[in-house]
Amino acid sequence: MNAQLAPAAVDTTSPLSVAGLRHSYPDGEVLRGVDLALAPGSVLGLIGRNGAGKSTLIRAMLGLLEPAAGEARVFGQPALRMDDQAKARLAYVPQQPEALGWLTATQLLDYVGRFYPGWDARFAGKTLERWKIPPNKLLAKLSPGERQRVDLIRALASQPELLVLDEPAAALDPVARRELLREVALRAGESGTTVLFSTHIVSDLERIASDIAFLHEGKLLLHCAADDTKERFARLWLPAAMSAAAPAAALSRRRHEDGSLSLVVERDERGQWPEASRLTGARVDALGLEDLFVEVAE
Amino acid sequence: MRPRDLLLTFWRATYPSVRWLVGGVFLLGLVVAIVVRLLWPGAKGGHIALLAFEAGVAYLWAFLMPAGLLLARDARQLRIPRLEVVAAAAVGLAALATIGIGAALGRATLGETSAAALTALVLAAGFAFSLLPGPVAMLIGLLPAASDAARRVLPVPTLDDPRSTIWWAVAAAGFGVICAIRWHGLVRLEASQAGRSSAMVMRMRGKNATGHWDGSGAGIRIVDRRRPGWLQPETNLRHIGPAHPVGSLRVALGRGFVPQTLRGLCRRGLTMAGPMLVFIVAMVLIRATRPGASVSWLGLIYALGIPMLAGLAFMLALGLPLVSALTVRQRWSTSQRELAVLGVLPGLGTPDRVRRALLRATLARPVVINLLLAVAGWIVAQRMNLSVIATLALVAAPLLCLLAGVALTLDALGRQPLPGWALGLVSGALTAVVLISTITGLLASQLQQDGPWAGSPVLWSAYLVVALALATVLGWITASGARGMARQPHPFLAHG
Repeated sequence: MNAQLAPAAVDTTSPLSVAGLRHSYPDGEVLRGVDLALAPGSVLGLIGRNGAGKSTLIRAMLGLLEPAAGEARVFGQPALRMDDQAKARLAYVPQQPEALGWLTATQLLDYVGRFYPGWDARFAGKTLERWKIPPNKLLAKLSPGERQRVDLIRALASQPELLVLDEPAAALDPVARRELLREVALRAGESGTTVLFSTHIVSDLERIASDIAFLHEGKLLLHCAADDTKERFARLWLPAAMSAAAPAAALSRRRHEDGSLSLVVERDERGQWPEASRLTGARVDALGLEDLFVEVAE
Repeated sequence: MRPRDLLLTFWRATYPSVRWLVGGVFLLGLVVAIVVRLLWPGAKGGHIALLAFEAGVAYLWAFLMPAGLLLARDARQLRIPRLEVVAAAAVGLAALATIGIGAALGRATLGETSAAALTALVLAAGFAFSLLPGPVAMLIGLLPAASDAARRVLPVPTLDDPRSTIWWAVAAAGFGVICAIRWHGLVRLEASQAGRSSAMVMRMRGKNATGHWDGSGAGIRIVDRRRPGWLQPETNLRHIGPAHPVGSLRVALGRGFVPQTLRGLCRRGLTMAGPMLVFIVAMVLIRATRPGASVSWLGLIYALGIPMLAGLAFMLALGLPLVSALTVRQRWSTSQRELAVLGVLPGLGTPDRVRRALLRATLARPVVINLLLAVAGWIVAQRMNLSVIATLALVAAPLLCLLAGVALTLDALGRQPLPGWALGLVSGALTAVVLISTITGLLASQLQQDGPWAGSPVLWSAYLVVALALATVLGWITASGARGMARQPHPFLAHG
């Protein structure tokens, strides 16, 4: 429950961390004090609705955007002043894979590959072939799905220790999506690659994420292990007559037309649901990840 | 629907930048026409006024009115009732309104009917330009020269001749039929085929939005995507990598910055030389068909060569820095594309090394070319024995362009770039100053120290004042951009 804590100090042991991150665009505040640190080797799924601030958070975490306040670090270095060694250990795939459209897929991989000491040219060539990407067609002329896959090959072939993917599956068909998830899980499992990926496809999270962070309206509402969510969070329903007894700390709160109240609540340190759940007529419903997302985001 | 709402359709169906640019050009033509008409009574003033207005009409109908077609297409694709008819009606009403204004302006000189016919011809030709395939559309631009050439062999009447009206009306009707046929076909074109359509308006159009078609270079990515393979640049990756940061950055900057293979360079040269060849052929035709004229080929080469060299110098001096700076500005407008790759790319070195490499990659060519042009201008001035002030004009123009290239590039790389309107203002002033200098080059013989224009101190003083003011503004932009760039932790941070 990071958002409810005071801004934390930046975790210098984490491959990727931010503390007290704030940022605004002319039309309003996008990040409102985000603290987040990825554990080495973890696969963190960053989930949130469209416009929640996921892409802005990722860009700020990687030093591609100068935040209004707060600090981001990559492998212990300030993200805005990363050296070449830190950059060589990370790979990033942006949400819109539209860069360098004047190159062919082969040219792009050749170009980028020259900068990475650990570049796996064999993997790049083989994956290009396996994913049936026309190697000599200009990137500008490829379909969005094909371009996204070329960008994923670019990221994976650099053999990164930290892989950051911003909605990597958005333009992929189900087969390509499954292949991508398998590849990411493999990298995390076998090579210990730390992965941060943003998405709003809950099933992708359930498949590979070891941790989940939920960004809502610029705030990180929860950050926990993926397996814990079912145990840790639930929907508490209180009839109208008891709504006054609703706990103050709740991830979301929704009043129904009949006056009854639905809240998303969390177990306390002793593993207990809030006291109101023990009132007669109160009901605690288990929540799947998708239900939890919908309840909180609505 | 009320006529006012119909006319506003175009305004609502285009991006603000497009409508202000095109609307501004049209209004400028109209204002010039009215002012000239008021200050310069008589036939000659009337003709100039009408031509200024017709230039605005051509621009309006080539770049704003095609939004009607895009709207009609969208309406059909999205199955929105009535909108397709509204778009067509708006085009019809706008045509009538334009012809009406033209007729009113030309009443005193050509007469209402003739002026209306001429306006109808210009607007139909402008509209056809946007609806026809690129190479055919380009030929429309040569029509005035072709008409002049045809006059030598065919009984084509001159502007004053009352028989012109029927010629213009027939030509306008012909273009009208072409427009109607193209409109019918393009509106019904399947979405899957739209990308391959060769019509200018479809090629330049934004992916999901109406109105990228403004002739100002917007929607470049779409053009990159739709450009045929043989016209695409052939990237040369020979000197790329951590040891070659300048070359590597040029690849990432795209467009004119990309190092090309020899074959790619030849292709590019040919595509640039193509329109020039068409121009040369047209000019040769005009000269060869002149009755009784003995064509002196040396004279022809001189007559064509000097304006072409001056035009080329103008394009190089002004175009290269502006296009380079605009490309940089476009790349730095979003952190989602090239900056997302460059910002985390290892091997480019420290931020200071990257800054230096970036400045070399973006500024080397505009700076070198403008320095060479300044030297060439000085040599021409010395050889022609031009007055001091005319020499200054010839040398100052490339130096101003050089300064503009540096200023606008640093501005684009800094924290807060100039707003679009300020950029337009600076570019407009620069274009005017450089245009005067180019004309100075063309009229060099008139500007000799004892020539008729040599001692025109008021004119030259005004020129110098504008040039100095512009240099001051550019100097300020340079300093501000350099400060902004230096303050950034690394140079790959997008604006906003």
